Amino acid sequence: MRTLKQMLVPASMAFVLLSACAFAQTPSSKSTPLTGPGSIAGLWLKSGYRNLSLASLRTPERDKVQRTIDGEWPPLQPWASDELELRIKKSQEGDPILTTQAQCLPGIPVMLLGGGAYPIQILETPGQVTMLFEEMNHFRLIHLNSEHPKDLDPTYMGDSVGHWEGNALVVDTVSLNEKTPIDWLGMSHSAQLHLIERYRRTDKDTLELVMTIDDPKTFTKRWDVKQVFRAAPADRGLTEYICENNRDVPDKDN
Amino acid sequence: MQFLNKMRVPVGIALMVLSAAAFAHHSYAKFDMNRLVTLEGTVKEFQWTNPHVWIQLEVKDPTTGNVVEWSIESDSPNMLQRRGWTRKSLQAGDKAVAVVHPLKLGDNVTSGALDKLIVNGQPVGAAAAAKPAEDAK
Repeated sequence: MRTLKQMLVPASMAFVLLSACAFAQTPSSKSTPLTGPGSIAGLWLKSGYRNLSLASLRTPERDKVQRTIDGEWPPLQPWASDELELRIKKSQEGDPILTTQAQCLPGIPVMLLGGGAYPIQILETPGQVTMLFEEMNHFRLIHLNSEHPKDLDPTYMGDSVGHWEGNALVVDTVSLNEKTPIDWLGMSHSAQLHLIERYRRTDKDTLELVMTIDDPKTFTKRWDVKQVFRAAPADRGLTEYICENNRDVPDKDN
Repeated sequence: MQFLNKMRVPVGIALMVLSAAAFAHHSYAKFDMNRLVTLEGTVKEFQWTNPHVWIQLEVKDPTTGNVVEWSIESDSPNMLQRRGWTRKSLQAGDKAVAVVHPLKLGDNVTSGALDKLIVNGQPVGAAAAAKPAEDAK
């Protein structure tokens, strides 16, 4: 049974009140924040995606692998490196290894990183930041000023707790099941995976995420990745995403 | 797995499903970026939905004269809208020419990823960005 601290952190509340005076509220639009300029609320689209769109056909497999914030190859343990090389090879051959994405299953961190062009709506309410993903028609809850419960079962989305440091939202996530990949190509991780995300709205239309990937079983060291989001222009927000309509299965025996 | 019950696929496919990324939301890696096939036919169905917009196209095989149904996959409605498509861009009965990347593997391929679509003589938006960087903005 989890104990949720419902009280808002006084510092962030004061910040919101102060900035509410200075910030000119524009008419209702999903791409402008409902609270102060530090808010990350809005409708966002990942920039730099290459893994879902048709453009991915023109992107070499190795370019689809999630790189570090410095553009380097991820620091993989030998077993993880072998597995990734096999995924690349099979993908190049046109016979990719099954991933959760291919089964219409959600997952963190893959839904936040290079895969897919589906918008994400971020909502801020007292005690919680909620991410609505058009991809997989799914949601993610970030419990503010809370702690991870002691006894957690691994899940596709993990357990996330967050707090504000100035105008950066810092999120800590554990308890991710081992089925979820790091990236669209399917880079694996272990049950030890621990993610630390820092979200910062750098201007009205830009959200920056720096994520630290901490998983000593899979990687030789902690590494950072960066994902930039841009305000999405969709007038009515997220579009429903239910896999059942994709009823034909492109397959080599089709 | 529940998706199999809803899909009209030959029984033989059931064995493939376990080894290949053959479910409803697969990877574009299955398509051959080095090959383009031009298909001329009549639109049977236009599915304007997530995860992918699909076009079922009835194509007359030039050698046999038989009508073959092709399943043509494109990007999400959100992405296509940004390239000038709408949910009304296509409807059943339209005469269409689709240029597609067929599957890399397999004989008797009747599936492809859409590169270009011309409907009743007019190109529809842009099915694919000219370069990957365009989609990344």
